[in-house]
Amino acid sequence: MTARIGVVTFPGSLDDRDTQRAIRLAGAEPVALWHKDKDLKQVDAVVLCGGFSYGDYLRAGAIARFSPVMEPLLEQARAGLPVLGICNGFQILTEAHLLPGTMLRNDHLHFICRDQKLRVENAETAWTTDYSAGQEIHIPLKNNDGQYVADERTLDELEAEGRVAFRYLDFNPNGSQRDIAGVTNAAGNVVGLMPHPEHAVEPLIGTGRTDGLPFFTSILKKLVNA
Amino acid sequence: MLVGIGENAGVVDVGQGYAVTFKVESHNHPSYVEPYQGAATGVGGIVRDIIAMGARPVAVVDPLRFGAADHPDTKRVLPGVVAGIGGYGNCLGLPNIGGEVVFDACYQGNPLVNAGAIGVMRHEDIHLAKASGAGNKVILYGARTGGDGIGGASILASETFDDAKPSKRPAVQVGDPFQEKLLIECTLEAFKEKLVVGIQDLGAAGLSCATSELASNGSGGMRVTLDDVPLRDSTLSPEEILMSESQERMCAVVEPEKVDRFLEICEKWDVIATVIGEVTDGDRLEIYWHGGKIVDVDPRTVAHEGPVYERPYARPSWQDTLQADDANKLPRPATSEELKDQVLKLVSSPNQASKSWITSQYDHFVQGNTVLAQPEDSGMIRIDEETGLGVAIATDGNGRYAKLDPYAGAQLALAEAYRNVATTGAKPLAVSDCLNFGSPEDPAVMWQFAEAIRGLADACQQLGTPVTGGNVSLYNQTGEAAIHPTPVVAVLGVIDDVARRTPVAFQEEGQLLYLLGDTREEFGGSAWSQVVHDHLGGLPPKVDLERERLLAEILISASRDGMIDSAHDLSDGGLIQAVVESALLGGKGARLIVPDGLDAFTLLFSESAGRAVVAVPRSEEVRFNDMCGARGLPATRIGVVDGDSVDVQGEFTLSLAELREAHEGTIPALLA
Repeated sequence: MTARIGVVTFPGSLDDRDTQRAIRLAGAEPVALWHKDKDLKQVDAVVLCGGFSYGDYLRAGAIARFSPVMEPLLEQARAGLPVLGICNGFQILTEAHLLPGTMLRNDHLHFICRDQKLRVENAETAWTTDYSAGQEIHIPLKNNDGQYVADERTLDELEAEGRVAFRYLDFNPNGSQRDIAGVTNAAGNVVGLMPHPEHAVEPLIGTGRTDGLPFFTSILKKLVNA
Repeated sequence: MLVGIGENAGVVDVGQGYAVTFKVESHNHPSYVEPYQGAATGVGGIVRDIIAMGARPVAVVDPLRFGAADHPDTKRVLPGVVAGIGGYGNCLGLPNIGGEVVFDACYQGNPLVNAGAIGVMRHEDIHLAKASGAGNKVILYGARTGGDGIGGASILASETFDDAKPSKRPAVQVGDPFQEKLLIECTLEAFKEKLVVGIQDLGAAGLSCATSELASNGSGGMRVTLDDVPLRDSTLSPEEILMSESQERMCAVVEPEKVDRFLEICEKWDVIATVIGEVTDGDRLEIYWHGGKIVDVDPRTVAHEGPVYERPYARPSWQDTLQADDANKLPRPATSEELKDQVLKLVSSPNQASKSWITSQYDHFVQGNTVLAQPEDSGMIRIDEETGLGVAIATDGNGRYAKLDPYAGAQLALAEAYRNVATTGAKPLAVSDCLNFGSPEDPAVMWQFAEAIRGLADACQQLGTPVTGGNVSLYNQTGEAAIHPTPVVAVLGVIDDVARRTPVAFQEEGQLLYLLGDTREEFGGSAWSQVVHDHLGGLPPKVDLERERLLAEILISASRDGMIDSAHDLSDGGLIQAVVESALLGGKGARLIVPDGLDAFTLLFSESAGRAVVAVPRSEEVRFNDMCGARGLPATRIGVVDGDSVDVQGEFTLSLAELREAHEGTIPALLA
C-alpha cells in the first residue's frame, strides 16, 4: 500500500502542483484538496503549500486560516494527523495556532529567493525521520514575510522541548529570531518551515539538489509502517 | 510557426505536440512615472497576452535599463521597478528566469522596463482573439472597472516627459496580482472544458480596444451594453468605462449553452463575470448606454485601419563623426599592473557587476521546472517531465552598439540572444522583439528605427528564425536627447532533453578551456571603452551570421554529446568577463595563456562577436577538436580550470575572493 497525502489549494496557492509532484516522486499518492472542501477525503496526511493565499492581503495566512477546509484539518491535526506547512502553509499554521509564533516582513524589506543552508535540529518529527539530527542541508527559500518571531518565553520553551526543527546556517535571510527556519508542535505531527523542500527533489531542476526529498519519504515510511 | 503577428502573441511548435507562445512588451513610461505599479502592470499585461492564446504561463523575463547607476533618480526608479516585477510575478507563481540590467546615462528620465513571458500549451489548445457565431455571448470577467489608467496608453506612451508638466501618476494603472492569479486559473479551466470561442485581454484602451479587436477578427458584428459592466465607481461616464485601463480583466466569447458553465467556473475562483453583449449578424460594433446607442462603427476601421504615418527619416549628420572616433585608438594598458587594474575596474563596473541583489528578489523556483535561471546565458524551463523536453529564452540588446550603427546593432542583439540560447544547448527557433527608440518625429531617430528594423529583418531571414511578434516603444526621450536606439531581441530555443543543458559555471578542475571563434581588435562600443575611457565611438563588432550559426551548431552538438561541461558566450566585457563569471559561479579558478597571434589586452577585452568559451573534459578533447576542425570553427586552447584564482600567465593573478568582492559588492553598495 501507499499513503495518500492531501495538498490544499487556496485561491493564490502557487506550489500546489509542485508539492504534488514531490509527493509522487517520493512514492506516495497526492490528493488535491480544495479550500472549500468540508472534509479531507480520508487522506493520511496534509501539506499546506506555498504561495500567496488571498494575495497575502491583511496578513500572510490570515484569511486562508478561515477557509472551510481548515475546520476538519484543525480537528484532525490535534488528533495526530500529520500536517506540513511550507512557507505560506507555515504562516497559515501559525495563524491557526497549530504552531506558535508568527512571521513578520523580512527585516531587509525585500523579497528574497536563494539556496539556503539549514541544519536539521529535530529528526524525530513525522516529516524529518529520514534526516539525521544535526544534518546540514540546502533548501530553496523564497518569501517576503519570513521573519519568525515569538516572545522570549515561547522561544525558550521551543528550544527546551526540541521543537525548533530547522535553523538557518551561515546566513539569516530574514531576521528570524534565533535563526529559526521551522518548528514542530509538541507531538511532532505538525511541522512548519519557510524554505521549500518541494523545490529540492530532482537533480537538474532548481538548485539541482535533492535535499528536500526526505520530507516526503519520511512521512511515507511513517504512514506505510503505521 | 503556428500563429504569427497580429494575435495577442505568436505561437511556435516545439515538438511532441507542444506549442510555445512568447512575447516581450515595454512598460517604459508608466515605470518612470510610478516605478512599482508601472513595472508590476507590465508583467500583468504580458501574462494576460499569454493566457489569451490558451497557454499556461511558465516563466517571465525582464530586460531593464536605467540611468547612471549612481544617479539619485536611479535609486528612486530601480528599487521600485524591481519590487514591482517581483511583487507581481512572484505572487502569480511565475519563475523569473532571465533578462538584463543595464545602466547608461542615456536612459536617465527614460528607463526601459521590458517584460517578457513564455507560455506552454498543446497544439489543440491554441485560442484566438475573434468573435464568431451570431448569438454567442460576450463575457467580461475579472476585476471591476474603475477610473484608474483612463487614457493611460495615450497619455504615457506617446509623449515625452519634461519637468514643467504635472505628474502623471493617476494615469498609471494599479495591479492586483492575486486577481490575476485567479484569472489565470479560471481561464485555463474554461479552456480545458472547451468553453471559449474567442478571447481577448483588456490592455491599452481597455474595453473599447478589446471589443473592436474581437469583433474585427471575427465574422460578424457585436452588440455591447455598457450598463452591464461591473464598476468600482458608479459615477464613471460611458467614455470612461470604455477607455478605463483597470487591470486583470478579460473578455471571452462563449456559445449560449456554455455560458452557465463558464460563469460557474468563474464563481469557483471568486472571479466576477458578466455577460455584457453578444455577437451579431451584422458588421457593426454597437455599444448601448441607458438604452441609447452611443457607438456604431465598423470595428475593422477601429482595429485595423489606423492611420499610416510617412515619417521623414535621414541619417544624422553626426553619425560619421561618431564612427570616425575610433575606440581602437584609445590608450591601452601599458603594464601588467595596469591591465590587472582595468580587469578589476571592468568586473566591478555597474553593468558588468553581479546583479544578484536584483534577481534574488524574483522567485526562480516556483512551478518546479526551472533548469537554468539568471545569471545563466539563457533561462531554461522543462515542459515535459517524462521526456525532459525544454525551452530556453534569452533577451539581449546593446544600445551602445546600435548607436554606432543601428543596422549592425540590431543584428548584434539578435546574434547575442541566438548565441546565448545555443550556449545552453538549446536550438534557436523563433524571435520576438521590443524596439525602444526616441521620438519618431525626429528624422535621425526615425532613421535609427528604420535601420534597426532592416537589420533585424535581414538577420532573421539569414538565420531562419521567424519573428513571431513584438512591441515598439517610441518617444523615449527627454527634450532633444533621445535614448540610444535599443532594440531588445528575445530568442526562444528548444532542447530535447534538459539533462543535456550546459551551465555557465566551471564544473571540474583540470578541464580545458577553449576559445571558439575569431578574436579581432574590436573595441567600439565595448564595455572596456565605457568603463576605462567613458568613450562611445567607432564601429561595433563585425557581424557574421554564418559564423553565429556554425558556432551555435557546435555548441548544441557538444552539449548533446557530452563534450563540454560548461560554456559561456562572449559579449560585453569580452573573455575576461566571461571567465570571471564562470569561475565565481563554479567556485573554481582558471589559468589562462595568451595564444600566439594575440596580445593579452585584446584577448581579454575584445568584444568580437560569434565567440564562446567552453570547458572540455580531457577525455573529450580529441573528439571536440576533431568536430571543430572538421566543420571549420576556430577553437583555440587558452587554459585550464584550476585553483582559486584567475591567472593570466605572465601578466597577473587575481584571487577569487578579490574578484568576488569586486564583482558582487557594487550593486548592493549603490542600491541597498
